[in-house]
Amino acid sequence: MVTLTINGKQIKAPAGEMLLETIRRQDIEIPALCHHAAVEPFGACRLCTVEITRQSWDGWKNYVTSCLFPVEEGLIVQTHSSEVTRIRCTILDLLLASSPNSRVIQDLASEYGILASSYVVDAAGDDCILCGLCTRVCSELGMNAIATVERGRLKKVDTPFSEPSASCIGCTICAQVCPTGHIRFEERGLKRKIWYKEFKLIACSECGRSLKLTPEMKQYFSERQQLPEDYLEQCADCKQKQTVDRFNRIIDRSEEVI
Amino acid sequence: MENRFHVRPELCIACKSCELACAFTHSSLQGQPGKSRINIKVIKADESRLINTPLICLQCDEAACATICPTNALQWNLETGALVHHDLRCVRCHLCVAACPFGNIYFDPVTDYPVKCDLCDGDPMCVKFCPSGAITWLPLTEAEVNRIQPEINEEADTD
Repeated sequence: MVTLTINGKQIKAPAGEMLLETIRRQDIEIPALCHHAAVEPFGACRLCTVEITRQSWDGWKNYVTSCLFPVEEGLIVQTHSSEVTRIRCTILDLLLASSPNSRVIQDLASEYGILASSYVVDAAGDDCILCGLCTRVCSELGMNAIATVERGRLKKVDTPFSEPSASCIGCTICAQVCPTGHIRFEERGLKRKIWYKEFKLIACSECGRSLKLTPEMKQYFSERQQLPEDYLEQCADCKQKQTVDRFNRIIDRSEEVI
Repeated sequence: MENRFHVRPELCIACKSCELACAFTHSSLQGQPGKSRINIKVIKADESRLINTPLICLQCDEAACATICPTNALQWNLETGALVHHDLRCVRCHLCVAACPFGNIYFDPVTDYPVKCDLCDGDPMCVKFCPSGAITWLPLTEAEVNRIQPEINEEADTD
């Protein structure tokens, strides 16, 4: 355990924990778009920047991304000082220029008092802020179906050669974690389309309702997580019916208690 | 964990008080009820008889939901003995909902995250609102004794 000061309050935190986690545990809200607990911190969006100093620094200060900065003994942290707010405003100003149509960015920027970007706005800019959360989650789970392609202004998230990828299993996790909702997928009935690829969805073996899983997902995850595939065949509703049935057969004593 | 749910479907009158208690304990937006993690399933046993069964997470030791979760979002709270879902680690892949063999994990339509029974930090609210004693929260030994009472009585007779 280390002791540090956040916004004037003394706080204990487990050594090795990242500053962002500690700050959020205090119910202090700071924005972070590229952060997800399921993957290692990355520091792409820079919005979680905070001000740090120490007694011994004699008034000197430093600005660090809290998602990447481990807590230290005697650290003095300010999460909303005027300089931190100025830095965040600049970042949001830039994000608003490159993704002017993103609802998430607009809302966050207006929270910091920015209603229009002061930079040259890319009117055709999409909602992707290139934080790479989708690609990190995809590779963390072992699929590696998408990555950032091209460089500089042309950089974007895509499958290799913008073609349907053999590694994509249609799990839509990239779309689920995307902070701005840029990655989209279509789902109609038992069909799902994502990253130029069409998937059939598994239907419940009893009632035929969609399980919202693709056969590729079922095969991949049951092998990776070592759970027999037959766990993923029926919908929750049908399983509940079976459970009730079983309970009551036990109560009626027509079936032995296991 | 010292206590266990003791569910007796034959006493359940399907008043759904437990569902309400759960929904209001776990409100997803301020002042609004959340998705209930307990569900009374009513099925037709035969022409004249309905069976009501309160279904709630069994906190399986080897839980299928936790096994299939690729990001380890389901973790044990060792204090309460509950297998708790952590939204922060969740990537909403739907695998846990599909994997539970009893259908006891649900999707909250508001937050779009899976929800499951967290034992209300060791003091389940559903139990307090059950008027008929269909669902009780008993020390493990007592719940165990109640479950296999007939056999125990028989053994006691032979002694």
